[in-house]
Order: sequence, then C-alpha cells, then structure tokens
Amino acid sequence: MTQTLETANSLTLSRPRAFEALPVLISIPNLAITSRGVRPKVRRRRLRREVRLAGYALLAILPVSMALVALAGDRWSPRAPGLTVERRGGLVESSTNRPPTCSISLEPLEPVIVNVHRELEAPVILPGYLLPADTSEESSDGGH
Amino acid sequence: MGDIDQVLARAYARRGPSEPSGSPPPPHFAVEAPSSSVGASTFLEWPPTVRALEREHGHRFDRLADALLDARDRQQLKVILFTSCHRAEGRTTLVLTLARALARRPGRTLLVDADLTGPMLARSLGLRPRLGLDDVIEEGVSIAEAVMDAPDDHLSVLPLRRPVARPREFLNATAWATTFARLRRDNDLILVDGGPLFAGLSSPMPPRSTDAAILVHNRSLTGDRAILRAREVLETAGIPLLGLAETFV
Repeated sequence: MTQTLETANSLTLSRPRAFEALPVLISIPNLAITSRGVRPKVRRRRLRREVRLAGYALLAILPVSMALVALAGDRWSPRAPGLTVERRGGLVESSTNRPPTCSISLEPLEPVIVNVHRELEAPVILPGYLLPADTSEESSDGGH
Repeated sequence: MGDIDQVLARAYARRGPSEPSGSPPPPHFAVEAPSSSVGASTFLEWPPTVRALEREHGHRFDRLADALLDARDRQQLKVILFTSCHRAEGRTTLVLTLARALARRPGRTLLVDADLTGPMLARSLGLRPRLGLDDVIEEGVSIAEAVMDAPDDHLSVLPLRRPVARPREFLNATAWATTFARLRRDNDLILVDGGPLFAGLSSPMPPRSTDAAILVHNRSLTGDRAILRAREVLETAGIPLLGLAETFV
C-alpha cells in the first residue's frame, strides 16, 4: 500500500521496458470482504433460511408423495380376469396376491414342413430366356 | 497520433468557440458553443457500489485524483484511458468513483464511454441518453447535443448509446480525432472508459487520441502474461501505460 500511495503521488510518463514491473497506482480492496459488517451477513442468513425452509418442505412432501404414488399405483394397475401363466405341460399357475400385468402363452412346438412353401411358389418363366437346369450349373472346372 | 491531436486541439483553441466562421463548415467539423450552455442539466444516479467505495476507500481515490491532476499540469496528460484485459474487472466502477473524486476539485471533468462493444456508463448512472458518442462520430451530431451535463455533481458525461457495429472503422474515423480534439479543448480532464483489450476474437484496438492509459486489473481474472500483452498493445498504439489499478484485492 505504501508503494501504491507513493506511486500515485507522482505519475511519471515514461516508456518502460517490456518486463519491467508496472507501478500500482491504486489498490482497491474487495468491498464484500472488507465490509463484512451487517449486509452480507443478513443476506447469507436469508439465503440459509430459504434453503432450510425449502429442505424442510421437501422432507415433508417427499414421504407423503411417495406413499401416495405407491398406494395409487396399486389401485390403478389393470387387473385382468384370467391372470394365469400357462406352461408347456398344461400346468396352470395362478397368483392371486400379485397379479402380473400380462399373460404369456407358449404353444407346443410342431415340426415345420419346409417343402410346403416351395410348392406354393409359382415358377417365374420369362419368355425368350432359357432357364438353367436345377442341377449344378457348371462343372467344377468352370466348363473347361 | 498524439501530435495530430495536439495540433487539432491547438487549432480549435485558437479558433475559439465564439469566433464567427466565414463559410458554413461541414457537419463533422462544425465548431459548437461550449456544451454547458447547450445541454440540459442531468441528474446522475450513482451506483451504491460507488458510494460504498467512496465511503470506505475515498482517500485512495483522492490520492489518485491528485496524481492525475498533477500529471496533467506537468506532462499535459489530459485524456486518460481506463482499460482492462477482460470484462468485469471493475473498470467502470473505478472510473465513476474516480470521477466523483475529481469532481470535488476545480476544473471541468468529462467522462467518455468508449467501451465500443459493451457501453455501460450511461446505464450505470441511470441515464437514458437520446444522443451519444456514436451519433457524434457516425451521424455528425454536435458534441454539445450529446454531452450530458450534471451541474449538481460538477461532471459531464458523453455516453455511448449502443454498441458499435464496426469498432475499427469507428476508431479510425476522422470524426473521432476531431471530436477528441474538441473535447480536449473544452474540458480540463477527460476520463475515457475504454472497453477491454482482449474481448472477442478480433485484434485489440485501444481508442486513439488518448494521452496515457491506466490498466484496471483484477488478479483473479487476469494473469501477468495478459498484462504484459496489454502493455505491448498499448505501446504499439502509442499510448503509454501509467500503471495498474488493482481491484478486488
């Protein structure tokens, strides 16, 4: 601060070199730090009180809302008449306490006939084009 | 550039405000009457921060004001540029508080808002100017119409109404030099609130026609390398750097 005041008392217009230290003409403290008297404290208290109130409100509302959501969720869930889970062997298992929201039905597997689809398909024959035979088109050496 | 300003100022001083001119001059070179007789009085609403700074650290601003007046008398430093490396370093607040300290001393002090990208001076003082420095430079409005006199505060303010679209052209305009020459003639000390040097991507452009600069510096925002760079920029522009004004210490 002494250097500041001394420098401020006599401003000299010179062309200092690039890395020479610059004089400090005035040094102004931060008002928020220096005047920690009344106003900043009051603001902080207000802020704390607001934060505290918001926290209390959240703490009061959260359990009630969670309970409401839990109860209402049970009440609003769709309750289907035939809540059964069918298994492959015909065993029926019903749960009355916790009904599932969907039923799964697995049909028994049957052998799949592939040739049926092939017979149903109509052959496409373009006029003027000679279709290759169903057997292998070319020999292993490519016709040579 | 300083020589041109001095020559222009001497020419205007020699001509005098009341001297009748033979032919009607073009708008940019019109010699008006002193602004105090033209501009209506203005009430300045000082920010609470300025009043708090004045109340708690007023003696520091008094000393700087005395030093500036001493430099003006001894070295003819009449137009002082206040700039910073970045925004929000406390430049405008410092200028306003210093202007209040200078206003308590004899002489006519003028505040000029030359923050071309973000003018804040008028808003800080609760002013809604109808005309400003931008109108003087771009539209050829007379200085007397744009300068706002506050006789209660013993101050005058030349605001900037809006950000300037092309700062480089604005600063290089002939009207800029002539305007500052006239301001130099009509006022005893001019505090120029310049914008930050390193704002945006464009190369820094310190306002011309200023005699010296004071770099407002917030340690938490600006490092030593930025200060050195700012010093180089100012010296390249022909503006000697008087020193630092440290804020938020």
